[in-house]
Amino acid sequence: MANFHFVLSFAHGQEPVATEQEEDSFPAIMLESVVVPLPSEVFAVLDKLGGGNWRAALSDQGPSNGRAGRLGMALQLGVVLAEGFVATHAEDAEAIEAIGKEVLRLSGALGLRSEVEAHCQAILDGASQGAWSEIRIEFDRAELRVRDAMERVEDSALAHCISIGGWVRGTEALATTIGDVYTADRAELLHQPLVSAHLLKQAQQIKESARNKNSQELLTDIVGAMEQIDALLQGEEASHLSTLQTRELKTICAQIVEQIRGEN
Amino acid sequence: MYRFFRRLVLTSSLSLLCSGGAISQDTTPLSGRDIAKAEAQETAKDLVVKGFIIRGDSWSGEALDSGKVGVRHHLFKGNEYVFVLGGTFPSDIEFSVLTPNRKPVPSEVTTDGKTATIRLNPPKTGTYLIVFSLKSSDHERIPWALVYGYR
Repeated sequence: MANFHFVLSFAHGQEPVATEQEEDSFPAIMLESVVVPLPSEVFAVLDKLGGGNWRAALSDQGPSNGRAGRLGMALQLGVVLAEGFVATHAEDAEAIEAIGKEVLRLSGALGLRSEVEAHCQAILDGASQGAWSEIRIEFDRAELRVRDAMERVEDSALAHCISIGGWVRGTEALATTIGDVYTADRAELLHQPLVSAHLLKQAQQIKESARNKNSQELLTDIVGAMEQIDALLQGEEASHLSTLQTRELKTICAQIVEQIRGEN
Repeated sequence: MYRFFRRLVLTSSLSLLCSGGAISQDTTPLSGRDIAKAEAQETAKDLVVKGFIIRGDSWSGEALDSGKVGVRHHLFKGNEYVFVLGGTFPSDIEFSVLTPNRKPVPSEVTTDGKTATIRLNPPKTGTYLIVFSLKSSDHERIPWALVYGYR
């Protein structure tokens, strides 16, 4: 007879989940929660595998035109924060300055300006001094503070939107850079089925609970695109995406980012 | 093989509670997890000077005495990773990282009362399982927190 125990656990920025232990089949309580890797965590490996043209991977840092309410703004904030990691890797002080301002604008629109103000100042100071490592840490902290604040007011959907927007933009930049100089080892970095499945599930849940019509439409598009991404990344053969698949992944991510930014 | 492994969301667990199911509410005081996280972060500070970038994100929870806890996490070959586990009480900590095929990854483990640290270089990019347990002679349930870093 199986013996079950239940314990509630948390990952930061995640909803609490109850997990179940069945001692007869697997001797551990498993956490369902997933921590999404930072773009810089993956970029660092790519640098060891020949690096890339990070400046070419940078996109427009101007204010976005998204009109999908607070969920849309949270998605935009995730995209912008990920752009910050790309700009930091590109060591582009001008881009970082623009991104820092956009982070402040979006955080302000979400009522969270005070949460990130100090981090944005540190980012701007770091950019003027070329302190790239410190800037990466401050982008991580800024994202964490915003998600933390959202969790405190029990708005985990917004926190998840930041993770979704950030991962999609980070993956787009990664696929762009890998596609420029393709090797199977570099393409292996794109194989993130655990993260992809986790974020798809969250996007589906947010879509179901979205009340704003624009948000529902945006989330419907995002879920559809993320289902395509998930299909690409699942399975054994997906561990080394081909050049064609890498291009396909980049295209899907780029489309999501454009939709989030209100560019199509 | 692990088909019996089922996960329930909080709402499901609460309904089980109401129906008398064998489930325990999250009675961990917030401060318990905070203390555990502070312990882990304090230990992790020493790793920053060694070039590790410590993530602000973390996992936390409450473990049964000697009960194993598993956390799935995606690791990238080429990075060196460090995971620091903090507990609220001094305990004997067992800590390991398993490959997707559940084979132990060669790693270096150090323990220090309330915390344990494991360092490893993942042999390939993929989803790994971080497994740990905390054994205490005085407490049946032990709040814990897990932070990680990379370089």
